Amino acid sequence: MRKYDETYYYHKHARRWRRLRNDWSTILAMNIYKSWDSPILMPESLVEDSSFSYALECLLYGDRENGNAFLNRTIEVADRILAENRCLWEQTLATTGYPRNHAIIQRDRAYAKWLLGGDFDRDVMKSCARQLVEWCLTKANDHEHFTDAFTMNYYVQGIRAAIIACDLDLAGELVRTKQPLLGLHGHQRDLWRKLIDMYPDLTDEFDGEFETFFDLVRDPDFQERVGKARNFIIRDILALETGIIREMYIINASPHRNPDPENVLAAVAR
Amino acid sequence: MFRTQVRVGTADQGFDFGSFIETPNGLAVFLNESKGTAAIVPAGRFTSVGMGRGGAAVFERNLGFARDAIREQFEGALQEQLLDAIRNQSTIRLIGPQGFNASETTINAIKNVTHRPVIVGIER
Repeated sequence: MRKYDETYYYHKHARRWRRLRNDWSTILAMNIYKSWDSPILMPESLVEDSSFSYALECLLYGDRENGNAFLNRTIEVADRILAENRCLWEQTLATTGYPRNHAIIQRDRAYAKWLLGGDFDRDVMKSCARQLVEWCLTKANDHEHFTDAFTMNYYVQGIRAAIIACDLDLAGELVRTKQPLLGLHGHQRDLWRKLIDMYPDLTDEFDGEFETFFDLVRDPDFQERVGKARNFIIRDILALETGIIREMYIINASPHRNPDPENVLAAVAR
Repeated sequence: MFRTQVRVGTADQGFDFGSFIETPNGLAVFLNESKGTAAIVPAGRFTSVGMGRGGAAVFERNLGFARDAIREQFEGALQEQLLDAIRNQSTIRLIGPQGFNASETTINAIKNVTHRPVIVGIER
């Protein structure tokens, strides 16, 4: 019988948090709105890179104070970008990334609210799934035939969003794409397809395969390398979402029950 | 310097590399596109900055790769400063051997797509 709890990464989160213990307040004090009067070319980066990802780093170590401050910043920045329609502003680069950027902003805001104790918003996740895939299939530079790690990453994020939205019909449709998904993106597609096809009759063998994948991607140092170069994978979001899917479909009796944020964080961080 | 390229299958994608220096006004970040040609290079060869068939979508994608590369290779306040710089003030630097150059029209076209300054540099 395989032991599911044999891989521990908590010490890596702890080491990193300690190294950066003086940086969290510095980052929080930086004026994230300082270029607000100019076109914002990558609005999703303000929400994800500069707010939500830092929140995850703090929360996975157990630093609720800074973690919550970054979660609140995620919500505040996302609210402002969406209220001012900055993803479709002045025909700048942001419009090239629309609706992918819009989906990411909505999704990270929904996760931030959930991690602060709010409801888990499945409608947002369904909308996010559709927007991510719409961008991949219509606006990505290789949308007619995926050759690009960027598009592959966001297409698979769309599949995960549909699974988290409990819309297995949509997820099943997305997972059957004929588009090539290479490396870890292809591995994920196969794993999510098995989950969709088998659910609710998941086998021990599937559980084992899922845990092996989860152990791989929740390692803070995980990267998929091809020679000297690396694949494009937004690892922290992948680890969080794999933890959410695990809680919904493997741990809980029903995926319609709200996943417990503390359980998910503990599983990702352990 | 920092790595900004990713690979899936057999193709490398992204800017050739990123670099930064400290200035009195903060960090100056450069997104570098390197060519081996000792002559004026036509606009269409600067694909990573949006001059090829994929247009601005390629540049936007490459900024995404650069953002992720910064998150991988730096941490804390420096990471945040670099992210802020590539979102806003970073400069596109076209570099090549002695004799390399890009026309004014090409430089303006790149500025137009990327919304940031463009300079030409010679490799030493």
